[in-house]
Amino acid sequence: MNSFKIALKNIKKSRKDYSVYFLTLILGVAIFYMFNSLDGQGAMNSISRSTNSAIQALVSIIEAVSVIVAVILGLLIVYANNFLIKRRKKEFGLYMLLGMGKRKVSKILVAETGMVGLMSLAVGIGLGIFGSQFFSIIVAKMFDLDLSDYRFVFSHTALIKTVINYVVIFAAVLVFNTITVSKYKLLDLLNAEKRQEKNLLRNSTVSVIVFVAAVAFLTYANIRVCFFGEDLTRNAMFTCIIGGMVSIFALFWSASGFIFDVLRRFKGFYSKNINSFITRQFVGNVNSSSVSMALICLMLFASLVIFSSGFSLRSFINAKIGNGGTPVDVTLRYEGDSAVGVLNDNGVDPYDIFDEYVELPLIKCPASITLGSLLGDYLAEGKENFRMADWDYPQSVMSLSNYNEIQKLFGRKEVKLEENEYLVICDFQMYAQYADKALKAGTTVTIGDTTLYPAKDKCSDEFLLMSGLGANGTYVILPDSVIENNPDCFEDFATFMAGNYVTKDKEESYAYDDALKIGLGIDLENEEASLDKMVITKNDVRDSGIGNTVLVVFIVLYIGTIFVISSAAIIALKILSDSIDSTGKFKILGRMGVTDKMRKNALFTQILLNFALPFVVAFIETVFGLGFVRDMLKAFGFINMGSGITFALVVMVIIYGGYFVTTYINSKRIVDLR
Amino acid sequence: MSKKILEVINAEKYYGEKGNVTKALDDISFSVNEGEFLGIMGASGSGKTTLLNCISTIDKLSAGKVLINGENINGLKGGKLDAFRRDELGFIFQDFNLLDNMTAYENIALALSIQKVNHKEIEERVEKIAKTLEITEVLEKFPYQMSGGQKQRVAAARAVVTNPGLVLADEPTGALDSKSSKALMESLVKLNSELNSTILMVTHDAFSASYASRIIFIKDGKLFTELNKDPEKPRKAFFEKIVETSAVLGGDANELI
Repeated sequence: MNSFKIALKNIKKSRKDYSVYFLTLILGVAIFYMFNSLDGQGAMNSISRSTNSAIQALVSIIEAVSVIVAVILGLLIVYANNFLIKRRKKEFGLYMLLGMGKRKVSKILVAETGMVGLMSLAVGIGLGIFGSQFFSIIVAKMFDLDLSDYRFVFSHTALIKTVINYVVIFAAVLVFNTITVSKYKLLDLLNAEKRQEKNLLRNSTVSVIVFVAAVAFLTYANIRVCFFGEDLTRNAMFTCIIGGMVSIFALFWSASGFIFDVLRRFKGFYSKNINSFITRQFVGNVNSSSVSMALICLMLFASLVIFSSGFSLRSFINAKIGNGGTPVDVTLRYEGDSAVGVLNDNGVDPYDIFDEYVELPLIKCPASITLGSLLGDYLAEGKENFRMADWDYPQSVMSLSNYNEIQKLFGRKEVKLEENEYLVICDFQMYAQYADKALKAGTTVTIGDTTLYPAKDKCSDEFLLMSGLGANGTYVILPDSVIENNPDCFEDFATFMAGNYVTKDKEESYAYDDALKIGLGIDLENEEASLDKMVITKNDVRDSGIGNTVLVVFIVLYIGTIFVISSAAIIALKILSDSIDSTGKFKILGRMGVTDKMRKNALFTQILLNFALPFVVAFIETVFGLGFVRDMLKAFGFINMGSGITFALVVMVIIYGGYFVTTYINSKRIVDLR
Repeated sequence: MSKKILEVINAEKYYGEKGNVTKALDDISFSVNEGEFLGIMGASGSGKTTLLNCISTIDKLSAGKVLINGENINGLKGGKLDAFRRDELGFIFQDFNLLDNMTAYENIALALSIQKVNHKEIEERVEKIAKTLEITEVLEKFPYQMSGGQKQRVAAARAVVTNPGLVLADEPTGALDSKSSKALMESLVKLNSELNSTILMVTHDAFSASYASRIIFIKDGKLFTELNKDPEKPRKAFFEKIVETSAVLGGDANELI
């Protein structure tokens, strides 16, 4: 029989042992293909109209992330493969005893690995192709995209990329296998199953002390980060994060000793049924895999956090680009006398385009109103955080009556000011947080002889120019009389224009956008180059909002899913390999008269606890961690995280649960319980 | 006449397909009385392990009956079978079969906790049996920290702590050196005489067998002969008789050990 035939037979024989390995390979390949084929997908075509740059960014980020993903999957596959070899040590020993050389054994292994790799690659790509179509539809639903140009897409580049990556990974696995086999000693192979376990628990007193210390530090760090995250200095933050990670490792290192020490004290529980056995098994698992459990916990934590924050960001942006964030079709700021005048000069008649519009002057007062002066006593604090800012930059000023015209057009409430009051408009929270403090402290503005007091104790969360991310400039609104009485203080600066198009048709509105921009002399290929002419249309805001969200959501999905798969696969493989070692134990229990049901229960409990422990710790950390993320994102005016967490949990439970069930079924088979 | 714990009646066990049948057990009948220490001897392949497996419910007879405490164990299934193993049988194996991630104490206690004995009683009973078998000092140790002899005595303690109707020992000294073998056999005798445990031991070692009170010899699946120990004479005499019989049984001295 040649090695190919032996290999084929072996795979058939042990296809159930391969199930977790297959599952991981297939999922890995499918996800790799799906994300790398994104640029060709139908949904992308709908988004990409005016936001090609977002798609380009997405593709290049995914390419970069794919390198990391490939490395993670590569390591995972080597690990999984190692497990399979361990399972079959005795078989290899037998081959060698029968006179088969190591070279031939390696050959069989190469043939097996190759075939398994090829099969999973084929199945994975198949799954990836169909998965990506399905994915397209979900994305379209998620962002209300038009699917009329939907078609079945097959990406050659993604296929080639996936194949190359996997060939490299499998080449590494082959080299690894050959080295492993060449190191084997026949005696060890044959005795692989007889080796006695020497799984000494760590000293229980030390474990309890370390465990309590780890929990205490984690609690402290969690509370500080979650509830006082905003006040933390960089160093304190660093201490919390590094300390937290060390604590997680310490926690898992000491968990086995601690759990055992506690459970053993409940004698009624410990000596009931086979609880002592289950406890010993579980504690043994945790003991021998504390490092990987801690890593898994951190990976799960990372994916839970990025899943939830990513998806919360999605709902946030979706809300921002809704009607509240885009009250009109177009807003523009033009540094010159009149935008309307320029348009007319260039042959674009505003009356042809606009159903209604306003054009109002923006003025400035360099002596009294600058980026720095508005912060009053809090300037020093602001300076610490924005080192690059030009604090003497004059802020734009608008008169109250003009501002109320805009309010009317935007459908917002009219603003009232006393003669000695001023109002600050700012929805850029990074700046607003200091301006708020200054306003609360009653910082005054002096124009000529007039002293003005804050009308509100914080910035008004409104805007002139539309923006998807709530990152607008600051405007100061002054009573008309103050401006009229102090003409010397003010200089004309720019005009602000806002309006609604005559058309409601989407296609036409894009044409109007372009006409308007060209009319003002903006280079369409390089819009950002002309800062003195800023045209922001509803279409721009929506497209870039969707583009950014898609970017975030995809990358989050990609990394998060790979992390969850890796974590689940590592636990699954570890448990399966422990099950192989436990076969004898379950047999002994059977002979002692422990019923099948009880043994199944024991196995189930043991596996469940193994999956649950890192997950529960990760979940608790996530709840606190998200408290901090929420604080950070509040800078953008962003609060609700509920839907994100729910989504993250659903994804987790599906992948993680799938691995759990597969592991349980296979372990049952390994320890011969049906 | 004391009570019969085990009765094997016309036991037969066949292997293989029709036309090519091997009889591993061929019409074997014998019985074991309460408090007896019975040895079963025979060369490799004589059928003694098959017989033990059929008595211990791990395997089933092709024909005939095994009655334990008057109950036909061939008719037991599922939960009843498990309960029977749990409550009526104690096992001692050649390779100890201890759970190696549990201490000696936990190994012994487990046999009781699956019988739902409460934890205070478990403690008392484990300590008592440990004292009898002189393993008190290894109770908190794991199997890998014990010698072979200690492991086998822990296994013996686990087998008898539940007061089973019948203790089945399969080559209990097979993996032990001669000193440990002697100590273990003395322990088994102690269990037999002090706790009145009924023991059925399969062995091919004449020295171990000499500790039993009665020995049956099996050859090629058939009952060959039976030897009774004379309580008046020393064990050495019984040992010599066993060696003699074995020689006749095998016809070849090399096969004996």
